Amino acid sequence: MSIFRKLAFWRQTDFEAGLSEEMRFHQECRIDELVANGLSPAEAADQARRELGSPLRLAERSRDEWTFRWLEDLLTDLRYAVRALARDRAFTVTALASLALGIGCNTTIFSVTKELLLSRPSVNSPETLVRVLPGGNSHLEAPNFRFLAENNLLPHGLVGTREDSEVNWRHDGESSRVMSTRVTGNFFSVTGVPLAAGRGIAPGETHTAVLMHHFWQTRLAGDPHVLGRTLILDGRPHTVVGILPADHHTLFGFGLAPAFYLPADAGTRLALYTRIPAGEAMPATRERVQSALTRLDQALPLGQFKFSENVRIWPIVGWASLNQNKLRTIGLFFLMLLTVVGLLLLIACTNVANLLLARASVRRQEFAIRASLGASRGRLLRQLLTESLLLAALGAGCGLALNLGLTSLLNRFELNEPVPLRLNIQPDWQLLAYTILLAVASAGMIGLLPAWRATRPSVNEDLKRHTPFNLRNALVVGQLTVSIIVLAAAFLFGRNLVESLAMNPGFDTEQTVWANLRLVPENYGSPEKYAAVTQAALDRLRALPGVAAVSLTDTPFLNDDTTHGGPLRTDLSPDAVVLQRYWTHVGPGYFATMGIPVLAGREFRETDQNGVILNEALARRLFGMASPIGHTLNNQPILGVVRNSKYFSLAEDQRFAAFEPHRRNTGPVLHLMIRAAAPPDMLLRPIQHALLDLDGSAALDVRPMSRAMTLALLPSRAGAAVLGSMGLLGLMLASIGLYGVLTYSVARRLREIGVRIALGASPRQIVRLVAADGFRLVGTGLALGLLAAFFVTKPLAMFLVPGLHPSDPLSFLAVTGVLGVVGLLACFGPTRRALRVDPMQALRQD
Amino acid sequence: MSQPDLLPGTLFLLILRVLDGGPLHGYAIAKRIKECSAELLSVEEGSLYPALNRMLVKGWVTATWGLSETNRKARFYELTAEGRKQLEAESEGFDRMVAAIQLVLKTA
Repeated sequence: MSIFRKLAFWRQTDFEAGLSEEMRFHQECRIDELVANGLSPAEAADQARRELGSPLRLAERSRDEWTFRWLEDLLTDLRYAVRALARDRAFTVTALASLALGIGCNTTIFSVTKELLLSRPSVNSPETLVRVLPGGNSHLEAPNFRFLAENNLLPHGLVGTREDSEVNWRHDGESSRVMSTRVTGNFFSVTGVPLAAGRGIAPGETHTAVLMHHFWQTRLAGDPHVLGRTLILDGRPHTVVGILPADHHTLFGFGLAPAFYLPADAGTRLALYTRIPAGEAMPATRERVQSALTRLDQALPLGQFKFSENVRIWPIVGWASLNQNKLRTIGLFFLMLLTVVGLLLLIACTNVANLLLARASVRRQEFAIRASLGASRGRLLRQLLTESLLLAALGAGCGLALNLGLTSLLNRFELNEPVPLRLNIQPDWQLLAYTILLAVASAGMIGLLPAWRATRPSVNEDLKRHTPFNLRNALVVGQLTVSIIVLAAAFLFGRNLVESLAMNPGFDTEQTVWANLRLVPENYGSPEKYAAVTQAALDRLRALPGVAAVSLTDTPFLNDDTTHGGPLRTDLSPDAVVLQRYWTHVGPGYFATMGIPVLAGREFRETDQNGVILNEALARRLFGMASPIGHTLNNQPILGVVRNSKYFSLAEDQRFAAFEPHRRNTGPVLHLMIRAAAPPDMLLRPIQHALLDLDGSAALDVRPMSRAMTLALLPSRAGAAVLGSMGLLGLMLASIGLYGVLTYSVARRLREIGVRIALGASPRQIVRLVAADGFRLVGTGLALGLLAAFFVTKPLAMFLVPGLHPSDPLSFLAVTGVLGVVGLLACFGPTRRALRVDPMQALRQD
Repeated sequence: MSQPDLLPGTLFLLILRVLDGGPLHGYAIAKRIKECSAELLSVEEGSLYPALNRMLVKGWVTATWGLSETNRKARFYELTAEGRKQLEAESEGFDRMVAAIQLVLKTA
């Protein structure tokens, strides 16, 4: 209350003028009284002035009641701090750079994590929208979805989407494969997705499109008259009815960026989303969904499989949406990144704290003078803390600028294969809040300790003692320890990348070419026509010189995944085994084409209409040591066993796999695998010509398998890049810290060194004297750091390729080596300085 | 006879009490306290004006410019309702305190 009164008072009156007028009045009254008592006017005026005392002091004391004393002090402190920082430019630049890097990296990882994992889908109240996995399946067949929708079994809004539906976009005489998201007619009304222009897809529409902002901008040159324009998609004209805003986030999340939304057609398999009505708890929703799916099971039975079993319901926002097996690793990866950048900030703050400590001991004369002039300890403490707060605030400002620069770089990066991903990081209040939090934490970390030390009543006494253990050394050792942990993690991820690049995925990537052909559906129409063109493509490719073999697959390795979990029955036992396995269809001669050895039996031939081929892991699991050849799996004869390989990610280990024959291609998408006898690069053009001769309207991608590893190598590359730069940064900061401490200790011992030289110490003895300090610090830090790193990096195993262990001796050896070299370099400068000490000069100094 | 020191915290009480009779300017307040205490208590300007300002901040008094009995421009202080309440509370507390001190002085 009194604050407002103060402010109001300041506004209505000219305080100073009022006060002096009041004093004058008081004095005049007193003079009148004294004159009435018999004094002469002159004497009376003198006495009144004497009585009143210093008008300045009185005015000041009255003013104190009205002003915000602390605010004025703060302003003074700030002015002083700015001057102090401006004076010591080298210190300020080093400290600011450390803080800016620390805070910038932290906020950037924070921004990326938030955008990638926790961005809210652009829908109305996403909290009340859930994803439903009927029978544990990600997608539901169209007829089943229609049954649920037509019978209104989930009445509060049932929406289906197919997030990755490929279409051919025909433009300027060529075809491109683009990714679209197909949605049911009620999608836009139920979700309430905001649009930048136009409208959403309406129920019943079949040939309309809603464009994503980036597609409109980059592929259609931001055409202002795009609404109503026609796009030829899969050979049919589609009318653009709406444009989404630039910050649109899909329901799927993870930066998925399709080109546009299209209406789902009668055959689209759909992912299910439904609204929870207000006030309904999760168990009630589960029950409702369960009973709806039971109705579906009764109406459209699917043998053993039940939609109402293993039903899973996921929220689409918040941490809970990440609590799924596949995503947990990604979440933990980002948690690890946040930890590492946190450690980095800790190193940076230690650096600045150390610099401040050094400065504080240099400034102790200043503090002594100020203390003797009457400044209280609290006042001095406040002054110093203001300085660190200012430093942290400036550092945070630079860090924020760094964040904006880095995120706008990241926003430009897009991944197109196998699904289009792009980041759209926009600064928001959460980023600002996080930055402020970091700034305050940093200010505390860098400021409290040095300020406490500097204002200690008997600073001199403390400084006179030269103990081997002091605060600054402890800080440097701590810093080295932390940087070793970061560096060890960085080396591990570097090794991981090298291992991944060199890793044999179990199939040949050097001599194989992958041709991905997407035909325009309406040119074909019937399954027979697809089969005919597929056969023609195979024949043409086989006729090319330099082609050793050609085959087909449904799921190209390391670019697409397919998992099945249904029961497996062998003829050995009546009991079914339930396990998750990779499961796909491959053409005749596929394993020879991919360079995967057949260990037993044979691979598929042209004539095979059924039969199954297992990989080693699945064969071992089902049949143990016995040969599975001649046995059956789910009533299919087992024809062969092939060597294990990597199917979707390099991190997978001994994954189970089963293959069935690719009988006849009946769809618009063809994945042709070609084995080259010549270097694959020479074959790309002939393959392209051969396939486009066949159908010039098709969308075609041809590339060697060695260049189709983007997705597979993404985690290793990202991990190595991020952690590598963090490690480098940490190392740099720690060596700056070490160098600073050593230089400072040499400067403090100049006199001692001078005396020693004057008394005949050899240069070798001087080197030993100085370098010993440095080595002791490096040694202690190294020992502690390696010990800590050994334990701290243990959980990193889950991010590394199989066969690489966190306690990998090579990375520890490398860390020791690198830090040793850096330690030596940091000692070099100060030692040189010590050797150059002129004894006469050193002794003459006060 | 030397002037006794003002008991700490009693200056506000004295000012409040004096102002209870009606608005007064600073000089008049000091004079009135002196007269009422038979010249025993004298309030110095150095503490009077800071105290008055403090009471303004607390909202116990308001100040308005007016003309003094000698036709000079002066600032008049007047009790607010809050100030009156404060006066009651403080004088009651003071009475109890004095009674307690006297009790100790007599009996101990």
